[in-house]
Amino acid sequence: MKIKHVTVFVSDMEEAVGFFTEKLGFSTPETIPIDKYNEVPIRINNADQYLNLVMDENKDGFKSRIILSTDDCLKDYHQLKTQGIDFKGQPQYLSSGLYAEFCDNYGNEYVLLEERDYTEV
Amino acid sequence: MDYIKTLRNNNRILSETRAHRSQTQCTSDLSLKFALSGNETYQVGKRELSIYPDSFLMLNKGTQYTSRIDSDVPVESFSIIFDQGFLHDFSNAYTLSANKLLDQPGLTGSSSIDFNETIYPFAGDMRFNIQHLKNHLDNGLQDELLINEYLHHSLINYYRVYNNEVYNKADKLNFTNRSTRIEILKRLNIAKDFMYTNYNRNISLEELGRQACLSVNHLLRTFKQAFSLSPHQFLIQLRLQRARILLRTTQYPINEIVCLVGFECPSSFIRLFKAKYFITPQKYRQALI
Repeated sequence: MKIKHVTVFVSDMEEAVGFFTEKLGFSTPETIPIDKYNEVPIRINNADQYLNLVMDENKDGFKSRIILSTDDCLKDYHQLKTQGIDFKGQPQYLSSGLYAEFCDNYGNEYVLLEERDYTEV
Repeated sequence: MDYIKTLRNNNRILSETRAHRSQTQCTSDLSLKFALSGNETYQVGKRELSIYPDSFLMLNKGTQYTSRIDSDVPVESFSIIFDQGFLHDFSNAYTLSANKLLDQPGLTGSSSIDFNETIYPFAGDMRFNIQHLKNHLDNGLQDELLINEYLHHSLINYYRVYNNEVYNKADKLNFTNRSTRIEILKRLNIAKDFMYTNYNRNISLEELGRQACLSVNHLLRTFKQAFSLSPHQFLIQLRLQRARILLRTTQYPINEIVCLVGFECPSSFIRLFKAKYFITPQKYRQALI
């Protein structure tokens, strides 16, 4: 078993698709049927894993907190910041590595986490 | 890979790979020195300081030093020289509250920062950040904002290491007077640096005490307080750590590594290695392949 789809509620689909594809650099399927536009899968970096954007006009869907794994948090932080992503603060150190947090416009939170193995010198 | 990168804000990064080199210089600004493979020896005054991939050296502005590389295999030497303005901005942001900075933008914390020049362990976040930075630079990264982001984080890491290695250790010493604690720790650091540099030969306590200007009894007692290890235990840990680096990065037979790091007997080395890392040297090496 593995996770394939994770649901993220958004209140403006067009804007949300732009956020994920242009700012975060993820991709959408080539054609999105217009009648299916209230549910769009976003493919994460060509992996077989998707964020399912689900239209939620009344904003009563649950809020997601998604942890994105990176091998270089500072680089991605810098790149995403240049793309106009508004981070909650500077990257911070944890016992498991380095992380930086940001939000989308719909109240969902994203964590960019670089896990670091401190046991090996 | 060899390059000297001078950023617009005058931070500088030097990368060199050499087997033989000797040069006498004066640091223009606070510098961090790394040997990412092999080892490099710095002569500062009468002190000799060798850095290996598990350690790094900090030199204050205006320190005269001679650096020497003399090795069979090329040594990757990597240095960061921080511009004074960059360092000041960082140190203010780090030590002063945001309100104070807003009220008095011209306010500076300490007017000149003078750190204890000693060898620090190169591990944890510092290691990850420097390695990322080096990889990017080797691949031709030009984005100065990103490079400065890494440099900023290297300073965060350095301040944390400094805090751990100097203030926290000084606080463990049983002296009421703070300046006494700092002075004793300074001397203990000289003893520690001496072990870092001469780890592979026999070091007597008398010699160590002489280096640090402490009597043997005093050295033993205070060293244990600060580092929670006796000098002998510290030396053994250091040898094991360096043996592990050699196991990982070279093809030398284990018997040779035992001698290289200063152990006399392979069986005691294997026993100590296993006690520390829960794996025998042979299995450790096999697991890497």
